[in-house]
Amino acid sequence: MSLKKRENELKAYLARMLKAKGEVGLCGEKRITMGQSRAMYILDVAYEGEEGPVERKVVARIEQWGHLGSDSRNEVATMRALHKVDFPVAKILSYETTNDVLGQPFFTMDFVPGSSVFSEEVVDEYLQLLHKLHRVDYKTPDFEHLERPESLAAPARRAVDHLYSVYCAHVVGEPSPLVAECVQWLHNNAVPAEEITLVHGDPGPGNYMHHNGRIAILNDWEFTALGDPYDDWAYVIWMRGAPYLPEEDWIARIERTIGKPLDRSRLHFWKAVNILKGVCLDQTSHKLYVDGVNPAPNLLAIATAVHLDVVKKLCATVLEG
Amino acid sequence: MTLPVPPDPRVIIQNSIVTLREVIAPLAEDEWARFNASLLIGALEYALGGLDRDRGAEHRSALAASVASLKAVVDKNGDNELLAAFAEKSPFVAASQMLVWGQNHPGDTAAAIQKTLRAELYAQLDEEIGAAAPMMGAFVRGMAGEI
Repeated sequence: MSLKKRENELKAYLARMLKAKGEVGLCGEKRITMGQSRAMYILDVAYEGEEGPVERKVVARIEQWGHLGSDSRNEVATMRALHKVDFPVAKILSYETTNDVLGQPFFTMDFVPGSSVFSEEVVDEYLQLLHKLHRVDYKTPDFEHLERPESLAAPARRAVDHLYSVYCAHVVGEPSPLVAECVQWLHNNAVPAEEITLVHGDPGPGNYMHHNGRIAILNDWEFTALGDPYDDWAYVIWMRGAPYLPEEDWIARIERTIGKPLDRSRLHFWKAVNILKGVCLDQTSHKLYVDGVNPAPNLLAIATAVHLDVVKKLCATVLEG
Repeated sequence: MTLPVPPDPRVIIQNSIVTLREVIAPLAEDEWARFNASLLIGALEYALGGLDRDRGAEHRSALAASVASLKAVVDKNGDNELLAAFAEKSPFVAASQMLVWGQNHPGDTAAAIQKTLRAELYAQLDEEIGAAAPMMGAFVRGMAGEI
């Protein structure tokens, strides 16, 4: 999808949203490769504001027909709530829930300069921020949009059941017997949480920005939920963090951050759930691609090569681990 | 004029890959366009690998044979829930039911089911991973901004 086809609608929308006097000039748009679940564009806009001419960058984050099984509602509400308690997230500027402007719901947010390229310099600060997220008081009205687990046992089973329901809803052709077997194992061996906290759901390198040796913001809040913080730690260690630091290095850093040893069996369970997350959410790509909803070749790659790779890892972790 | 012999689809795809790689991709300066160019090359190479055989049909019949080979083991066990799997038309659904049953009923029958079905399913998984290798290569290169 290119924004060019919808440029007039977008400019009119931006003019309203930015309270511009007259038209908004769209001087540039750049789609960035990161982020497969949303189309992300950096927009260079120029307009006459209330206090004179303004030139700024705005980020538009556009839904992709339910790709990876999420929508923007929780993401926007969570980012607004976190911004309110001074947690480092980009400020939401607007949220368009209809398809009228760009053909899909989307939201806009402040552009924050920085890099998402891995840098060991900021790793410990990032882990401290993730730990801080786990300590945020979620029992306030601002987080009421998140489903409250009814017990400490709920997050693990709910995660497995939810992921498998997404998988089943997007199966193309035939289901994978290996996935079904792994899901049953995870359901039977679900580990109760020690505590319920805010959970990012997709944390680690690539999903935060740093600038001048400091963390600027944490990104990608679409999978945020109330759950077991081990969900996040396992994701950092074995999913996003795996290409950058060895497992034991991550574990040592996290243990220093939280001030106690990690429970290895709980960590292993959430490692498996996070691999299942990849298996199930990647399946959404397959259906969107074969149904012709989104013909983009990155969906084919995720539906085939990436998906098969994580199915193999799931089997190795659950059935052979 | 009608061509006496239409071009082989394999040749069309192969030549499209060359054109994409040598003509289109080098001109793609935009990050998203380069990413897509890389992925399209991988997608065509992946499609090329599927022209000669119907791997889906082969996997289906091989798994059906594996499921059928467990009939005696299942009959001996006699569990109705397990026996019901043989009524399924799809061997993938039948195998799913049997493996899920195995997780809920550990023992000799479960072990026999797991040994037979996992061996076949792992072999199929490995074959598909191999077939999708061009797609994976393109994805990894594309994410790194390369073609």
